[in-house]
Amino acid sequence: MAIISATGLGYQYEGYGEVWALKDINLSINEGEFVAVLGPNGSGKSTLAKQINALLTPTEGEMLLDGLSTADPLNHWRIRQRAGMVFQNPDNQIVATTVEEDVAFGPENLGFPAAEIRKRVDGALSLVGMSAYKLHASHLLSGGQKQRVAIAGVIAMRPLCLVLDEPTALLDPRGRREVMEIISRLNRMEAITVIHITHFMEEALAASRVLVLDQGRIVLDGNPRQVFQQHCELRALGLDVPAVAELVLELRAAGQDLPPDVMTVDELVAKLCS
Amino acid sequence: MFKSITIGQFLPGESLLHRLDPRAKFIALILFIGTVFVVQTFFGYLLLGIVLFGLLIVSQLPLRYFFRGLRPVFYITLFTLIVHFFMTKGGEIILRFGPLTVESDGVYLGTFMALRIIFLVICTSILTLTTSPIALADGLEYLMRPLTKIGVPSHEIAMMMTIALRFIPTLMEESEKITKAQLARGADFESGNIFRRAKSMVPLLVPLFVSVFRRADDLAIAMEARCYRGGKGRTRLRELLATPLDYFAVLLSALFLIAVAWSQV
Amino acid sequence: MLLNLKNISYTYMPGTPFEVTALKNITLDIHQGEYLAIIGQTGSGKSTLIQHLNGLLLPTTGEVYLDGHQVNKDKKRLTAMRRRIGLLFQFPEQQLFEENVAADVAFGPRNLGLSDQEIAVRVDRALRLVGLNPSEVRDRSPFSLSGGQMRRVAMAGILAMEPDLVILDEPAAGLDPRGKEEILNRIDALHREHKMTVVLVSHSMEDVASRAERLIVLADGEIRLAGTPADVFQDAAVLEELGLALPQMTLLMLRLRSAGKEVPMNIFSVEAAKEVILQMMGGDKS
Repeated sequence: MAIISATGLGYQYEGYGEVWALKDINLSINEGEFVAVLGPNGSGKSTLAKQINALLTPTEGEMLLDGLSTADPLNHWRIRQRAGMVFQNPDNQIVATTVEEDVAFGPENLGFPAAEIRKRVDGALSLVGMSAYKLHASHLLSGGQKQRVAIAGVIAMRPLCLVLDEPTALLDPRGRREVMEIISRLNRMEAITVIHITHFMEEALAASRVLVLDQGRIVLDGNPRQVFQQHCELRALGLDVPAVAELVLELRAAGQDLPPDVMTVDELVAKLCS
Repeated sequence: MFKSITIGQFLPGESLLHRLDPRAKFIALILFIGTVFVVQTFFGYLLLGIVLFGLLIVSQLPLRYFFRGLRPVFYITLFTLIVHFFMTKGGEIILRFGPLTVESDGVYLGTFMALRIIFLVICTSILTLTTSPIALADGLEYLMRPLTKIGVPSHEIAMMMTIALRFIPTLMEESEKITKAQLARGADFESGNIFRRAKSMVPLLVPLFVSVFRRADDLAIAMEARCYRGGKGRTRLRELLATPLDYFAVLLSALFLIAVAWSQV
Repeated sequence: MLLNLKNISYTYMPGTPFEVTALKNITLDIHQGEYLAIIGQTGSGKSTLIQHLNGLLLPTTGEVYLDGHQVNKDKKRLTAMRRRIGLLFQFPEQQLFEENVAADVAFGPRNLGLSDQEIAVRVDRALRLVGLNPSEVRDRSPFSLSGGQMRRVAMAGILAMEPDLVILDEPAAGLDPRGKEEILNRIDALHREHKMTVVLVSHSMEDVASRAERLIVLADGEIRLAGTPADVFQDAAVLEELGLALPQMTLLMLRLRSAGKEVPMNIFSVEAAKEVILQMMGGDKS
């Protein structure tokens, strides 16, 4: 069943004239999918993310989350509980001074009794592997840990889907790996639908589906192997192709007999050494 | 330079004072502040000093760290002291520097004022060093609740406090970073007269303001995304729970105030 | 030798419960005209180290020498040092503050006490060096520019001081692939065409492998590896332990080696990898 469905969605920011930040978006995302969203700066990725959990509402067309229309303000709280959002800058989304207090923020807003909040906070922290840091000061954590706490804060609201707006952009490789592992695990083990916006192509390879946005429109949509074979289109948008995919293209052009959908080092080594 | 300011930075711990209910600690603080103002004699200050030192021991805070954090306050105190020494007249003349005189009333009053400031800061620091900012805000919100009836937005005030406390370290770090970035561009924050110095702060303050507004904006969106809609219907992870110990602490502070007030009459 | 660090250590907030030793016994020489990259995770001591290179921090123990003269608390010397060594912090767009781009870039040169005429020349030159058209951006507010442009204006602000050495802390962080490529290429050009000594701080091996001449890898305040990129990548195990990802192409070579193929390790780009593989496959056939 489609958990996110957009039909003819368009959005204009106020004060930006006739420019469409999003235009003609028709999109259906099923429960349990792991969707990576790529696109150059200003392509509308963040705007799309904010449409999903009703932080922005359509100028035209419709966005439904779990069947609830974001156009109706009465739905907003239910939508935001179902579609949790994690932002790019870990420092600007942590509300409380200690880890557990911050994770509790969402459930507190939803008005659960203390015992239920406690259960959810502990559960969420253990899912992201941060239980040991429960009482730590949030500002002293590393970037990767902060993002894990932010994810826990969203998970504690028991959402159906997780929308992440470049959560790894400001992290070092270790932090990025930590966050990616958590996201993949939540998708696999907890069957949470994931919408992951990123500039890192290797991260997109972990997804089950890749969307590429340009100037407010969806220009490519498919599984990562299909999308990353579109070298020319991606290049024209200023996006990278995973280095291995690029190498495979070059090798094929030089007459080597390789399948076009080799994307990772291990796959290529296996093919070259067989 | 900002990191060295440690007034009020919470130090987690397990001491008796750490475990007290924030509301009890708040009330006790108010009673102590009352006591500081009631005291009129040096003997009273000596007594108060001993009690505060005792509390400091009970709190298990590292003493060196505690007093180092008070250093900026000592400068203010020193200033008060000097102003009183030279400006407050009356009593016997103790010292004479040309046209300036130090008279006994000035010494008396100056010392009193200085002790008052120091004691006030010590009381408050003990509270903030042993109480997590969240607990502090929760306690304050609870104590202000009766005022909601006359239109005081107690939840909002407490939330603002929490957020301010959460962002103080972040912004300290940020000011330090911007200071360094401008120093690397040859900025000079230290020389020249007061006007030049004020002007030299512009390259520091503009970026800081820009950043504060951006952060505030981001945070507001992040809070909204997590279903924040004010205090209505909001519950808490930690419910405040007063134990007999808390009542005892408040009672003791009240008795101390009364006893001191009595002795000063 | 331009800069010379001898056994330096640095401790933050000594004597408090927050005491942290950020650098331990670092010895490092920086030569005129080289392109050095410092690699490490957040918290490895990179930021602390580079602040020693221009005197923003003085070591707790050990010595720093600039042109053979020891750097100490002497304010005049420190100022002179900061003039010769430009430091661009992470997210430098956050330090912009002036009404227009030209005034912001001029802030550094003005602090050097240069004439208005000289400043104007330098501002234009610096803007061009970072790939901005002076006549287009000069009068615009820095806050009206895109993120990538703002970052380049900040970089121009350092270059306009015409330092001997420029240190850049994660200059590409947070940019999209195109913006990242652009700024890294600009830095390459500064080094190649303008003979600038460059110290680049990064946590991405992929970004620096094909650009820098020398790498040092920091972890827990210590230098763990040092040498040319090819040297450093020989120790893939150490890099993996530190959580630093090898460039994809280098990783490919490493895996091919473990599969028994004879391939070189100093391969960082797709083109180079292609040559090696074509040769390898050709070799196999013959």
